[in-house]
Amino acid sequence: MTAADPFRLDGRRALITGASRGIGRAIAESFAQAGARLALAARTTANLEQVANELREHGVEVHTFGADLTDAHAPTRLVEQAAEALGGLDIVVNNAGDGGHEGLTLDAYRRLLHVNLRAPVLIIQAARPFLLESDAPVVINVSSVSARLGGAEPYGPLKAALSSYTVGLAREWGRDGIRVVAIAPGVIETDMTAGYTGEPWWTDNLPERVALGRNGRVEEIAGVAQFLASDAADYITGAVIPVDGGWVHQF
Amino acid sequence: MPVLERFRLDGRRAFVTGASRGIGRAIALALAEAGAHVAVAAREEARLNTLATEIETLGRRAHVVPLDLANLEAIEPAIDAAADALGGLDILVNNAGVTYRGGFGINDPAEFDRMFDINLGAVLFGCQAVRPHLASAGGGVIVNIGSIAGTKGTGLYGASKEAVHALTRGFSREFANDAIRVVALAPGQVYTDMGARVRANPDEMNTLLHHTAQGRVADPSEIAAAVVYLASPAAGFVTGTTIAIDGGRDFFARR
Repeated sequence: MTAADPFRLDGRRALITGASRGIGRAIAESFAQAGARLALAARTTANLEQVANELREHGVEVHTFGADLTDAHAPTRLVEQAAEALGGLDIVVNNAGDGGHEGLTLDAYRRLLHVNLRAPVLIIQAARPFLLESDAPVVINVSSVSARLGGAEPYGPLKAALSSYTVGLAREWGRDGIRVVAIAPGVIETDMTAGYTGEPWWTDNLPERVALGRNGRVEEIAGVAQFLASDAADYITGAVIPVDGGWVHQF
Repeated sequence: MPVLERFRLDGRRAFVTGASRGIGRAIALALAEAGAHVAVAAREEARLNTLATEIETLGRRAHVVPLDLANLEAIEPAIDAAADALGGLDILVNNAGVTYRGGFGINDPAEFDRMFDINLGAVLFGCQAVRPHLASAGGGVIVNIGSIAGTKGTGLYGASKEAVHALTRGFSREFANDAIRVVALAPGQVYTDMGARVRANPDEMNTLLHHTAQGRVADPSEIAAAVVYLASPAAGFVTGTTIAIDGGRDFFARR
C-alpha cells in the first residue's frame, strides 16, 4: 500500500453492495481509480457484469456476486464469498437500499426492514473477523437525508436506525481499530429518484429546500466514500456525514 | 384559560400500548387522573383488568385490549374496537417496547424481527390506524415512546428507537392537516421491569449513573407526567419533536 497519497486505496479489498447502478456503481468506479480491489454485489448480475467489465478494461481486479439481500442467509454468504475471492476484506460499503414507494403496507415494511437494516447488520457481523485482520478496516453505511426528515413510510425511519447503529458500532468497535461511518446523501440523481428529480413540483421547490439549489450527482457521494475509506479519514469514526447540498430549509 | 386547566384531559379518549407494566401503566393512570378515558393494550390480560379497575376508581371509563403488538395485522382492528367502545379516540400513546439481547448483531433473525415489529412496526401501523379516528374527532395527539438509547446509538435496540424518533418527525408533517400532533419522548433509564437486568449488573449500572448528571434512574411517573403535558392543549404548538427525559445524559461523566 502506498504511503505517498493518503487518499489512495491501493491494494485495499472492498465489498460494495448495490454496485450495479447509481451511487454504488459510482463508488465502485471511484474505488477502482484509487487502486482498490473490488467485490461487487447486486440483486441481478447482468448490469453488474457490464460494470465489472468496464472496470476490468482498466486493469482492475473485480469479482461479482448476485445476492438477494431480502434473504436472511444471503448477506453472510456474500461476505464469505467476497472475502475468499479477495483474500480478506478492508472496506465494506453497505450501499444497497430499497426506497419502497408503495406506501405503508405490511409487505413493504418487512422488505424494507430486511434490505435497509437487517442485511447491512448481517454483512457487518460476518465481516468482523476479516476486518480484525485488516491494517485499515472501515465500514461505510449509506444512510439518507430521509433519516433526519423522517417519514411516514419505513424508509426514513430505517435509515435513521442505520445511522444510530453506525454511531453505536463505532463506539463498540473503536478499540479494535475498526472505523464505522455513514454517509447521508440528499437527493441524488439515480434510478431510485428518477420518478421525481425532473418533475416541476420537485425542481420548483429545490432552491428553498437545498442550499445549493440543485440535485446531487453520484460522483459527489463517491468522492466522500473514497475519502472516508482512505487513510486521509484515519481519525473519523462514528460520524454520519450529510452530503446533501445543504438541506438547511427556509427558516 | 388558566394555565393548569390547559393540562387537563377531561373527556379525552386515549389508547395506550404496553399498558400492563412500567411506563405504560404509569401513563394510563396519569392520563386517567388528568381526566381521560383509557383503552389499555398489552398481552397480559389479568394485569390489564387490574389496571382497568384502578382507572374506573378514578371515575373514568376503561377498555381492556388483550393484544400482542408483534401481531401487526391485529393493531388496526384493536384500535377500531377501542374507538367503538370509548366513542372515539383523541390520543394514542405508542409505548410498548421490548429490549434486544443481540446487541449489535443478529444471531436469531426471529428475535430481530419481533423486536423491530414491536418497537417500530407497531408504531408505524398504530399511527396509520388511529389517524382517521383522531381526524374525525377534530384532531388529536400521538405520543411515541422512543429512547435516549436511539439518540446515543446503542445497538439494534437503540436503532429501533431512533427509527421511532424519525417516524415521529415524518408523521408530524403528514398528519398536521388533520390537526394531529405527533411527538416523541426519549426516556433514559427508568425504574421498570425492563430495566431490571441493567440494575442487577453493578458495572453497567455504575457506568450508567456515572454518565447521568442526576446520578439516578427515573420513576415511571416522571415519564407519565410528560405524556400528560404533550397530550394536553398546553402543548398545542409541540409537534414532530423528541423530548429527552434522561436525567442529563451527555458525553461526559458527572462531576
